[in-house]
Amino acid sequence: MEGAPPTLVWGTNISVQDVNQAVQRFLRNYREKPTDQEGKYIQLLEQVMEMEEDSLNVNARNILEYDEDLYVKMVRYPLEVLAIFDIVLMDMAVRLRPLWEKHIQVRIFNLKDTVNMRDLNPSDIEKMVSVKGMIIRCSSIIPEIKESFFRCLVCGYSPPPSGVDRGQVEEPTRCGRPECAALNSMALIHNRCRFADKQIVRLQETPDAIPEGETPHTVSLLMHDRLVDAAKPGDRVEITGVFRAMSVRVGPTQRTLKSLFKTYIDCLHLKKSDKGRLQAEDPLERDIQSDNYASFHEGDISPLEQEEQIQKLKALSKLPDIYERLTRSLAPSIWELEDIKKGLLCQLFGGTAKKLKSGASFRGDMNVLMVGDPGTSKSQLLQYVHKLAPRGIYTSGRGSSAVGLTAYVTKDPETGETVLESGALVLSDRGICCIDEFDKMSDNARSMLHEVMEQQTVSVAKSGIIATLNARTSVLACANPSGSRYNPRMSVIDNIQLPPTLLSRFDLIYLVLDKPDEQTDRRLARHLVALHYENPEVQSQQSLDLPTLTAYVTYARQHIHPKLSDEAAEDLISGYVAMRRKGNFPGSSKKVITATPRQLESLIRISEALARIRYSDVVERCDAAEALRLLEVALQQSATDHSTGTIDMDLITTGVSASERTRRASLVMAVRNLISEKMQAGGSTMRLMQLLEELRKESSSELSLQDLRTALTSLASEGVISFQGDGIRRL
Amino acid sequence: MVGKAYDCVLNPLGAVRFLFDKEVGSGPIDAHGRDWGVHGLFTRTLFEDGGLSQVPEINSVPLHSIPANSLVRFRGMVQDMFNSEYYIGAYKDGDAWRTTKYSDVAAVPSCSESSMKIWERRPLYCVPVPGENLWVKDAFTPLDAQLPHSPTCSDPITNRKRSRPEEEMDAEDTEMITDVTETAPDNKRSCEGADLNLETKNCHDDPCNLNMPLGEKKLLPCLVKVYDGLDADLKLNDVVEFIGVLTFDPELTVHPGTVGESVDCIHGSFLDEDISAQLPASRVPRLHSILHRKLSSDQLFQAMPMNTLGQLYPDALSRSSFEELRSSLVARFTEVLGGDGLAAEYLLLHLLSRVHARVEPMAVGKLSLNIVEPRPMKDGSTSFIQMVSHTISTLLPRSHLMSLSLEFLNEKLIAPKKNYSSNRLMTGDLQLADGTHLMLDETVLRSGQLNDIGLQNVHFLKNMMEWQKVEYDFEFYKMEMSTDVAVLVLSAARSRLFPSDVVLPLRPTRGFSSDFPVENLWRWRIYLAAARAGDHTIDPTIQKVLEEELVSARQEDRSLGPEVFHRWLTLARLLSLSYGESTLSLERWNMVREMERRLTERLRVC
Repeated sequence: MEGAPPTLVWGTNISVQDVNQAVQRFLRNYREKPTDQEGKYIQLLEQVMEMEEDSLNVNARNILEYDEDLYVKMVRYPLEVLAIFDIVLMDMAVRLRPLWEKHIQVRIFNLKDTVNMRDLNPSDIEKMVSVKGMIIRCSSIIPEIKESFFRCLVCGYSPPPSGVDRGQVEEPTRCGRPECAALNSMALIHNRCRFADKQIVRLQETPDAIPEGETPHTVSLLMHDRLVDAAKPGDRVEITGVFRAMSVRVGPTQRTLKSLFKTYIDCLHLKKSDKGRLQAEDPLERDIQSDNYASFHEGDISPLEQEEQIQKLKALSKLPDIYERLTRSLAPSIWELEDIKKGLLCQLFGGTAKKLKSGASFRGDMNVLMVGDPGTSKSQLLQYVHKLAPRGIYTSGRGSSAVGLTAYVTKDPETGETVLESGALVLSDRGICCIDEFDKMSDNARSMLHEVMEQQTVSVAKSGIIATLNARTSVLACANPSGSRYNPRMSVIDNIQLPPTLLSRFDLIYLVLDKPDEQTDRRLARHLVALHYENPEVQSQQSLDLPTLTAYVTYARQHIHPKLSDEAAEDLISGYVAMRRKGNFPGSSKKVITATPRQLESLIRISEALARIRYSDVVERCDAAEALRLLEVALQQSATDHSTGTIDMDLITTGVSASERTRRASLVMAVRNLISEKMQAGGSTMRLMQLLEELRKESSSELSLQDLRTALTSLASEGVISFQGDGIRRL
Repeated sequence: MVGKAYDCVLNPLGAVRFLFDKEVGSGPIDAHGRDWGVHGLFTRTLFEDGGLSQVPEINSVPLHSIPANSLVRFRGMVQDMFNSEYYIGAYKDGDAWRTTKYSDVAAVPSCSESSMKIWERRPLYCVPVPGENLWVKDAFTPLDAQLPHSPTCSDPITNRKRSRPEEEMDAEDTEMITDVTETAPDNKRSCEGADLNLETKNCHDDPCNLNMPLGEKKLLPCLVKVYDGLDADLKLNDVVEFIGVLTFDPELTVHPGTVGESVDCIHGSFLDEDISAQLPASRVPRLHSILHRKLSSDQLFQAMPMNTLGQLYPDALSRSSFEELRSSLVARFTEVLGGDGLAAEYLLLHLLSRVHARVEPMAVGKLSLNIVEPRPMKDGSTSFIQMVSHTISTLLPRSHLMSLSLEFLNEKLIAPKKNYSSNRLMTGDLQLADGTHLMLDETVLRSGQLNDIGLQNVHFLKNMMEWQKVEYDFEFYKMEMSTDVAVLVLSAARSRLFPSDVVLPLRPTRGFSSDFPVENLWRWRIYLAAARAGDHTIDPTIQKVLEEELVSARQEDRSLGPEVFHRWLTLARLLSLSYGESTLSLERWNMVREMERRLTERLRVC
């Protein structure tokens, strides 16, 4: 040791002066971009002083970037380094404004690593940590004495207020005035003491951080001043603070300690997780973020890795078969139902919400209803989407009274305050609310859905409180047909038995019908056997795993906002007009689900979602075509006999493989060509068998009577021919 | 001293300290308190040198007969897992380091930070295994400590008769206990403060706070503290045997009352995670676990003391005895079920079922069974239900009969729920260890109003049957816990409330018989456990055949959906396992198809 020994942080070899200089350098010189005129924190400090605030937020990543050594010291010895930070800050403040007196506190946030709550261990004590979790309880505000003020009861003398350390008030034993010096005469004057707010908050692990088969861990947080009441129970937060263990004396007077410690985190900074980390970096993204999009799930990866992951997702989106691949990855354990899965995929991605200058807004969320026979794995699909959706809520229509499908008002048993407890729909704001057994839901609860599904809000008027809560949620519902099994002899509407007002709010209505087909049976059989005997052959099909899928969806929802191209718009319009015309088929009036302007909106949403799936910023013609197809398939439009509203079971296209579809389409083409060749409009009828013969002559492939009937029916629905019994007539 | 300086069983802490001193002598003290050879020593003494049999079980031996700080065993289910506890693991007393590991030291002298080490341990709240049957308990009880009655039950009637006096005794016992607690304050009338504390404590002592599963009254729960991160392989609802130090420090439970109105009080309510404070040491013994081993249902038999099993175990596993045991067991079930052979087969397969894979959200391998006995009232069908339940309870290690009366369903939630004010998971009847058998008696369900709780309970049961999952309510979110509980529903008509994988209308040809030969019991138990745990694969050629079979079956009958195929495949697997075969043969597959054909025929008549 030479010269004046540097002051060291107790128990270490860290020099206070060194740290002091490092902090000064950092605060003065750190610039986000080298081109910036003034240091970032100088600017921020000026802002803080302008607003008369009492704390300055410092991004720990900036420190890491600027001076790694300082960062390491700060994390390991936060108490000492933060004290130095505060001193330096005061200096700077006084230099900026000589009369400045207020204390400005440093709040560090955004540490490099977030610790898992259950990984905290004794070696983290007295270190700076960052933990994510959900707040479960908040204590009432505790006034903590900061400065004590005494007055002598004998002579009235009061010494200047003295600071209080950790709640221990040092009561002077005798009066400080030499003339008086009365023993035990000093009394604490409460009104003139200075108090600070304090609050104890309990943080619990969020479900995604809990390993399977464990219960969630909790940790106590100590909040001071501004942080008090900054978060409410139920909030997901990321906090930065100092992990501390407190030894407890056995009794107030004894010298022995309890062998158990109480641990807590002295909270420095609190960030609600909903506003993702990206916000701090990129002001452009702020708008999207503040709109409360489910944030990109980052876990504890650094921006570099994050960038890498985004690149990976983008590479995925470039794959030509990404649409099919995603479809496959959705609920791989459920067989077939490909078109339904595609619809659900669109729902997950969602369309873009639009807000017009006039104030009118259009929802981007899609609602999907599945109606179908029991045992067609509807519930399983629901369960799966619920797991995948950013904020999925699963509820059964039957138990909705217990689950609380909407918000309701309760009295807090402790405080007697009237509280709004939000139900499933509000909880799934920006997510997907899955409702099973939709048909069993009481009319009352269902009527609430009207508002939710179009205006995306829930109004509650109870106990004198009228509140409108946001419920920007997609609804995924499934129901059984009215007769519990689909009755082919009844019309679609009669089978679904839901009020048309509600039906029209669903973008996609799927009829999930069971239909015989040997090909699908075979695949089903193979699938099931493999499921029971873990055959690797089938599982090797290319699909994305769940985390990748979630990341893919989340990124798309956040960053891709496709716009309709003119050609796509044209296509959608003509498709819509055609659909409208079909609905107006004479005599069909109330028997089929007719297209309304809502369907046009649906089409736009679906095509936007399809573009999103490709990470494309423009809705192309192919998207429009697929959207039209999806809508059509969903309603089994092509299979519906529009005059009676019933469905021809042979014509159902759900579950029909793509190759089969093209085969059918080409058959229809062939028949159409043949008819236009051989027959004259309004001419004589042609026998069915005759036509079959002709066709068989032309085509080499096998052709059954059934196939022909199918083709003719679809031609009939287009209005090209009329088809009665055995005779065909061209119109 | 000659030989060992300590006795592992009687003075385990002596051994711990001895090794600690040796460790301290050899170098600087470890900051994390890692193991210093204690595991090794105890593993050697207990498992290799056969010391285990000398270690008393606190499940069966009354607590007061065991001296504090001695080595004990506890068999239980992990019911709740708490936050890690930070404690002063070692401190400097004068010049010498002392350790408090594996003990409950209430207080250490105040000393500077450099002369103490903070280590961590994980407290787990363990309860007696829910639904564990008497014969398992008896098997673990050393012979000399066993109650005078014979361990194996012979008849449900006499069994019930015998249990009567016990219950009465129980009632007396608890009365006596309350008497004691009531008179206790009298002795201390002199100091009023203490009196108050005791009384407030008594209110907290009510059994619900002990969270005993399935209304268990006799046995004790246990607060187990696990060291050195050994809890990593423990999960909620695991059945585990802990071997460790039994401690009793009354000071620890007295403190919370006496702290009084210091500033800490507010902290106390929020910060204090010391669960011990809530649980009186007299009701909940503390065990500092040195070693533990998991007891899943097939490992249970290996863990049993040798004297009960003798040479039975290897014998029961041989192939020929497998078939013989199977046929005798099916014959036995046929008796119980009134001569219905088909039902007996299904019952056997049902008892063998377990979840062997999960393809989210499906649980593959489960087989819930619904036995329909349409004449509930004639010749006392309660006895029929009793009989089935009794038969199962004598064969499986863990089983539970749940009578689904309206009152039961409406009374309280059967799924666990977190109580944040006491920071504990309040158990529910559905918090069961894997491999537990659950029997639902739907015949007692009368028509009436189901309230909110009832609705949720029905939903929980359905969920469990369908997905083998139970939702634990953590207020701000629900967590689904996977379970593996075979569910048997007994109802008077096909149960619509709880749809099962197999619906089986009973066709009794004679009265339900109840006499139970004792001689084969142990062999059956072992057979069931071994067959259940068996591994099973399929040949590619057979796989092709199966596929063809399924396709053609579906072509014939469109009503056959995926769920039927699931059932067939599950049944085929279980049937092979029941014969002790590890691959599926065509013969077994055809047997399954035949069984299913007969069942369908039966259902059609219905």
